[in-house]
Amino acid sequence: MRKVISPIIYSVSLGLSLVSVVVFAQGPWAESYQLETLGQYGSAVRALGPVIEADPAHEFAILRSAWLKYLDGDYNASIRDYRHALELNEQSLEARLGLTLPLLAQRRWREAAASAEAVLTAAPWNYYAHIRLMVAEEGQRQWQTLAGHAREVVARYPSDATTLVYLARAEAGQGDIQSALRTYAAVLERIPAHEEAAAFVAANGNQ
Amino acid sequence: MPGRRLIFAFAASILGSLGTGIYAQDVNDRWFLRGDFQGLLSEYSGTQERDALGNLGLFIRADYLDRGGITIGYNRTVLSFQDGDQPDIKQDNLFLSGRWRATPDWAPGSFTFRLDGHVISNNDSTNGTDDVTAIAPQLSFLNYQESFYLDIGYSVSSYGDSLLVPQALEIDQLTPTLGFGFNEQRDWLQFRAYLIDASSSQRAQDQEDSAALELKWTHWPTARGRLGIDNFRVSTVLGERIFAVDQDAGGIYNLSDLQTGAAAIGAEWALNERNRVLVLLGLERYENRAINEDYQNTFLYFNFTHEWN
Repeated sequence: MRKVISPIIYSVSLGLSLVSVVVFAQGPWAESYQLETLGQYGSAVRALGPVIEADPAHEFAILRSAWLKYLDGDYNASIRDYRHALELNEQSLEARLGLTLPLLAQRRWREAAASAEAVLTAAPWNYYAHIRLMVAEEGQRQWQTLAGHAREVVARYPSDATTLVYLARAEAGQGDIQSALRTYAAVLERIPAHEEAAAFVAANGNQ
Repeated sequence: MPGRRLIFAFAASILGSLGTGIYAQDVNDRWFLRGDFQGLLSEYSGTQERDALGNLGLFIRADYLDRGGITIGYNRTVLSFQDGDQPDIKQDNLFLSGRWRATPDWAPGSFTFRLDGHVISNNDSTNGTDDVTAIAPQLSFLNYQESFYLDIGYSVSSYGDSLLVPQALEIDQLTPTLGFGFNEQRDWLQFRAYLIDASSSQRAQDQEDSAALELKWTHWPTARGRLGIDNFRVSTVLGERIFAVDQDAGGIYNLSDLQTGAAAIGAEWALNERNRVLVLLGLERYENRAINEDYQNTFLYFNFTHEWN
């Protein structure tokens, strides 16, 4: 049995080595992408080291480093990189949107909201900025604000289930169970297997 | 409002590290202001000495985003006595507090360091409860799920020279605290131990060491119901404590005798996102060993909170 497995391991190892050689041959970018797909986010950041070392103002490398550090749970370093990217390009909506991610992960609701609002100033109906602002509003239990906000976004993105979920949570947070039931029912029309909506309807459907 | 901006800029310079470059410019006006106006009416029973106690207070709190902030507070307290010839004790209490929140990546939550200062002045003819100053640092941790809270608080209070007992009085207090959220964060249970050491037992009801456990339970109902109540509160104090520093209330029990227990119930109404009203009804038990009296204090507490943004 061992004799059978060994050639397989050898072949797999050789295959991976060849992949590595190909990846390394393509340079740090390909290596970084490859490592990201393997979930090795810290290594994916380190792979970009030569790029940033050669050009500390390489905007895209810094943005990518910020994203990878966020995925790696290195939130404070991610925030620093996103801010560095903003210093390099203050018009970057991507950097402002990206900054919301580690801030939300650290439950820094007000800071995340400020960054999302800055995006909305330049791009009033940017979907992701609205979603992240709603996350921040939910975190602060601002149910009235969240409900009004979610209704406006639902009007612009009527088929979107995520926005409806935030509207339903805001209605439930205000104690308006009947409205929340109707909104969760609309969520189930879009995603019949939606667990949160199904659980809420099951628990409150008889009211 | 240039004055307000000046205060904010000053506070921002104290808090420091507000970010640099573009981001700092974007959020430079991200201060969050909150005011709390509070009142307390209470009546004593079972005592030949005390009659009533009233209090009015105002707290202004300014927070820079989620980083930290400062609170400034003022309380005016009047204690009246059964003996009409005995003048009321009128007291001013100034409160200043600063806090800083840190979110290190290695921790599954955030840490907050807080430092409180109290300065109390009154017209107590014995001077025993006058000229009080207190410093109270606190380090707390709250996990990101907001289901676990831990803090360790300490305070050192010094009292003025008493005309009755020629001994200095300094109070050391340790308050380890645990809090738990459960039922999808619709319930919060907090336990705080008060471990108090008085440098002079003669000035502290013959009690050099006192210990008490405070329990607070807050429940947020799923639906607010007809009364529109946002949350219900129940609290109790078991054990004994004297000259305690209450870090939740931002006050000091400097006018109190030995507290031997307390219980309170209350409710908070969220009128809207910016305005809240809290009402508490409570009963406290005290002991005055100098005149061998056990007595009670029934109080009604009111707090109105307004958030400007």
